[in-house]
Amino acid sequence: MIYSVGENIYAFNSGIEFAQVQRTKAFNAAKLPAKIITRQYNRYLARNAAWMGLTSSEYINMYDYFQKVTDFEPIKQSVRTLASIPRADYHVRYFDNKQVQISENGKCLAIIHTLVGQDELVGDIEYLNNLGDVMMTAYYDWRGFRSMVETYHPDGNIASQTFYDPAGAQVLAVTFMPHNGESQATSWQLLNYHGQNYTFDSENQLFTFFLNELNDVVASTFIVDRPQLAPGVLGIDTPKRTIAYIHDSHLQKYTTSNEYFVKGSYQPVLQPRGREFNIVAVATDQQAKQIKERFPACVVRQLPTIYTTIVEDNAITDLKKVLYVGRLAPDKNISGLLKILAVLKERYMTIQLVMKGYFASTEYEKQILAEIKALKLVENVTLLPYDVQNHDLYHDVGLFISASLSEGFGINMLESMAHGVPVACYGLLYAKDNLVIDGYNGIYSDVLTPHELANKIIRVFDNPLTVMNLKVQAKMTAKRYQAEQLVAAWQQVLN
Amino acid sequence: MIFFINDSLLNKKTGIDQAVIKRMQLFERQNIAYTYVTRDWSQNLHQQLNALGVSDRHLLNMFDYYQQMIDVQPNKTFLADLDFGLKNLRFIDEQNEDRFIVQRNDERLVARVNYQKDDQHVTSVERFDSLGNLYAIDFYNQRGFKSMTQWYTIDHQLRSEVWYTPEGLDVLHATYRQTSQTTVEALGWLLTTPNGQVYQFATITALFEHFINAINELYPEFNTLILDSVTSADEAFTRLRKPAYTVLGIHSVHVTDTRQPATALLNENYEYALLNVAHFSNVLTTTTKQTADILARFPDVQAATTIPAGYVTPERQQKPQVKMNKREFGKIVAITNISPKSNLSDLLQVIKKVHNQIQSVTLDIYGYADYVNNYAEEIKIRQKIIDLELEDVVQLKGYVENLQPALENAQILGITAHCEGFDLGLLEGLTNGVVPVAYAVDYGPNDLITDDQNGCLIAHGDVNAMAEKIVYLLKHQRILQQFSNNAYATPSEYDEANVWHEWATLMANAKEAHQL
Repeated sequence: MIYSVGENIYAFNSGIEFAQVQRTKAFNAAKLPAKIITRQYNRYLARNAAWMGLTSSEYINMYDYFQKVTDFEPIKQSVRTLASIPRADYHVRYFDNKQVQISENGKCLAIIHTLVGQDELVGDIEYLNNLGDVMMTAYYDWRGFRSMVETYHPDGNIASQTFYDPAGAQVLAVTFMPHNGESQATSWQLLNYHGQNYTFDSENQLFTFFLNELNDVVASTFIVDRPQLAPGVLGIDTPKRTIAYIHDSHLQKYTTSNEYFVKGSYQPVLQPRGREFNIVAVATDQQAKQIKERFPACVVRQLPTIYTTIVEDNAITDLKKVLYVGRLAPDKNISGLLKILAVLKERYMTIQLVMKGYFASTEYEKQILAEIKALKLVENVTLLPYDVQNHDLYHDVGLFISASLSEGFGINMLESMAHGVPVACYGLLYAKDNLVIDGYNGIYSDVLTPHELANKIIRVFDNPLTVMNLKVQAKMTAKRYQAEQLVAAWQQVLN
Repeated sequence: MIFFINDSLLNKKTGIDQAVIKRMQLFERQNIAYTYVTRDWSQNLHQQLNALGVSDRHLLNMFDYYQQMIDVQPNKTFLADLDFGLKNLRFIDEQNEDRFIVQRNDERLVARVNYQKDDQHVTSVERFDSLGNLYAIDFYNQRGFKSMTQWYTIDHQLRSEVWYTPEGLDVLHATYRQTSQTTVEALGWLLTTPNGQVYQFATITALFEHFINAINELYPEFNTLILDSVTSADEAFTRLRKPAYTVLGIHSVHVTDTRQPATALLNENYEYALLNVAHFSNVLTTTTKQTADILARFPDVQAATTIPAGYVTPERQQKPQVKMNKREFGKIVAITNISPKSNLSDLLQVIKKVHNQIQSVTLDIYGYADYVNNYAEEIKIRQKIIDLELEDVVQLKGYVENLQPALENAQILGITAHCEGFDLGLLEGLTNGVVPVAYAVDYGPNDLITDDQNGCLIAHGDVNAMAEKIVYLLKHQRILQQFSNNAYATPSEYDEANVWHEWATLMANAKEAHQL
C-alpha cells in the first residue's frame, strides 16, 4: 500500500490535499494500491472526501479507524427521527432548520444544531445543566452516528473528549487539563482495542501507534505531505519506505541579510532525530539541488505532485477576461493581484477579473472588498465561491494571473495551461523555471511590482501572435504533467 | 409486586431503617415476594444488604437498574485484572496505606490502586495523567468491574461522576460544582436509558421520580408502592404515570407535639405528603392512636392502616424467660439514638436521683449518636454525665447488633422521650422481660405499656416521679418480676402471625382497590 499522510481533508483544501488526491487516484488507476491517511478528527471528513472525489477505500482517518467507521454506510439522521429524544416527555421546538430546542416545563434542556449545510440532520447536541451552561456536547458525524462526546471543566474549558464506535462503546478517551495557561490533552487512552488498553501522552504517539497498526497489515510506503507529521511517520517500525514530500520552499530568508535558512517546520524532515526518511521529494530540480547541497546525505528526488488533463476549449488571445483560481489569502497576495488589475484597466477599461476561491478569513474578505472599492474595480471583479470543479472557468479567459510571492507549484496554474490559457506571475524561487517560462509558455517578472508585471502583460497582448505561441507552449508544458507521467516518475522511486 | 421505596441504603442508624429491615425479614420469613427499592449508589450495596438477610433478588437499586446490572454475579477485581495501557510498569505495595503505587520506568505516577486489606481486591483506582495530575478515580464494585468514575479538576474539585454498565457503556452522568471545601452540588443529571433515550434531570429527586415511574411500568400488574423515605418521592407519588396502590409510610411522629395532634405543627418530613394525602391510597402508621389522630386531622385520607413496626417471632416466645434474680441488680438500659428527641438529659437526672438512694444502679445507653450540629446532643449528654458525676454509673454503648444479652441482663428500660413513633427498642425490651419505665407519651409508650402491668407510665417531664418509681421497683423485686412476666406476655397483636395478617390484609386491600 502507498499511503499519502496528511492532516485532514478540508471543506476548503490547499494544494497539498489536491496533490494527495491526485497522486492517490493516479496510483490506484495504475493498479498501485494507494490511500490517503489523515490524522485529525473531522466529523465532516466523509463529506469533504466525497467532494474531492474520493471513495471510502481511498482514504483512512485515524479516528475513523479506531471508531470502526472507515466504511460506515451513511444514514440521514434527521432531528425529527432522532431516537434519543424522549418525545413523550419533552417538547421539541424547531426554531429554524439550524437550531432545535428540547425543553421541559418551558425550561430549555438541550439545543441541537444541525449539520452545516444539511438542515434537519443532527450535527451536535448541547446538554445544559441547571445553570444553563453546557455540561456535555454530543457530536454527530456527517454519516449520521454519535461520534464524540465532550465534557467541560467548571471554567468552560474542555475536560474530556470521548470517541465512540457506532454501537456506543467508548474506544478513545482524551483528558484535558490546564497547562501553562492553556487547556491541553494530557492523557490519551485507547480502550479495549483488540482487548487491550493503550495509554498515550500525545496525539502524535497515538498516531505513530496507528501507522504501525496499518503497516503491520502490510509493510507499506508512507509519503508524508505535511512536515509536522514527519515524526509520526518516522516512528513506524518497519515501513517499506518513507518519503517526505516538501510542497513549498524549505528555505526562509533572514530578515537581516540575503542568506536563507531551513524553516523550523522542515527541520523534522531534513534534520530528524533518529530515523531519517528514505527519500525527500520535491517538485523542482532546483529545490532538489539546494537540499542536496546542504544535506549531502539526504536522498532527494524530483517528483511530480500533480497532473492535469488537456482540454481543447480556448482560443482567446485578447484581454477581456482574466482569471485567478486559488485561496484568497494574504500569502497569495490578492491585494497585489488587484493592483495588477488596476494597471491593466488603464489600458483595457472593461477588463474582467474572475477570482474563484475561499477567503482565509472574514477579516481578509472585508479588506479585499474594501480594496476593490478603493481601486474602483467593483465593475471589473467577479468573485466566485469555492468548489472543486473548475473546468467551466477557462473557456473564455485570456490569461491566468497569480500575484503570489510564495508559490511552489500551483495546480491551478497547470490546469489553466492545460486549457491553453497562459499564466502570468512573479518570477519566483521555483515556479518560474519549471512551469512558467517567460516568453515561452507564459509571462513572469523578476521585478516584483504590479506595474512591471502588468506592463509586461500589456506588451505581450499587444501582439496576438505572441499570445498564440504562448498558448501552444502552455499546452505543451501541461502535456508533460499527465497521470501516466506522474505514475511513471514515482514508480522509479517506488521500485 | 409490592415495593418498599427508600433513598439511602439501610444503615440501621434510624428507626425507619430498623423498621424496614424488620419488615423485610418478615416478608423473607413468610416467603412473599417484595422489592426493596433504594435510590443512592453504594459501592458495596449488595454485601451490606446480604448481611441483613435481604437477598439480591429482592433488591432493586436505581443505579443498578440503569447500569443494567441486576443479574450480575459477584466477582472481585485484583491488581492483575487492571489494564493501565502502559508497558514496563513498576508496582509498589504500600501496605500501611492499603494500596499499590503504579509507576512508569521514569517514576512518573500512573495510578494508586486502593485495596481491601484482607485479600487485596481492588476498591478504587486513582488515575494520573502524563503531567502527574490526578484526573479520575474509578470505583470497582463487588461484581468485578468498574461501576463509577469520578472526574476531577486540576485543583481536585469533583466535576462529574459517570456510571457504567458491565460492558462499559456510560449511562449516567452527573456534573457538580464545589460549594464549599467539603460539599458539592449536583448541577444536572444525564441518563441514557436502556432503550437509548437521553433524559436530563435537575436533581436526583427528579431522577428518582423517573425511576419509580419506570419500575412501576416495568411490572405490568397493579403494584403496591410503600414510601418509606417520604420526602425522597412524595412529590412523585402525587403524580405517578401509571396508577398504583400508594402507601404513605409514617414511621415517626407526624406532629411536633403529640399532645396536640389536631393543631400542632407538622413534622417537616410528612408535611407535604399529609397536605397531599388525597393522592395516597393508604396511610400506614404503627399505632392505632396515631392512625386515629391522622384520620381526625386529615379528612382527605382515603384509607389508613395500622401495622406495628416490630413483631415477636414464635422462636422468641419459646425462649426461656430470664428471671429478675438472674439479672444484674439495678441495671437500667435505654435503647435510643442520642438525639434531642430522646431527651436523655431527663433520664440522667432520674438516674442521679435513683443513684442517691441506690448506689449500685447503672445505666447503659444503646444507640447511635445523632450527627446533627456536629454531634451536639452527644457532647451535651457527655457533659451532663460529668456534671452529675455519673461517670461510673452511665455508659454510652453505641449501636450494638445483638441486644439480647444486654436485655437479658437488664431489669428496667428507661424512656424519657418527648414523643415516640413506635419505639422498636421498647418492644424489644418487653419481649426480653425488661420492665419499661417511660414518660406517658404518644405513640409507642402509651400504646405498648399498660401502666402497672407490663411497665410504668410517668407523667411527661416528671423526673421525680420516675426516679421514685424506679427506686420503688428496684426495692420491690417481686413486683418487678411480676411486671417482667407481663412484659414477656406482650399483647398478641405484636405476634408475628398477627402482624403478618395485617400486611396480608393491606395487600388484599390493594388488590381490591384495583378491581374496583
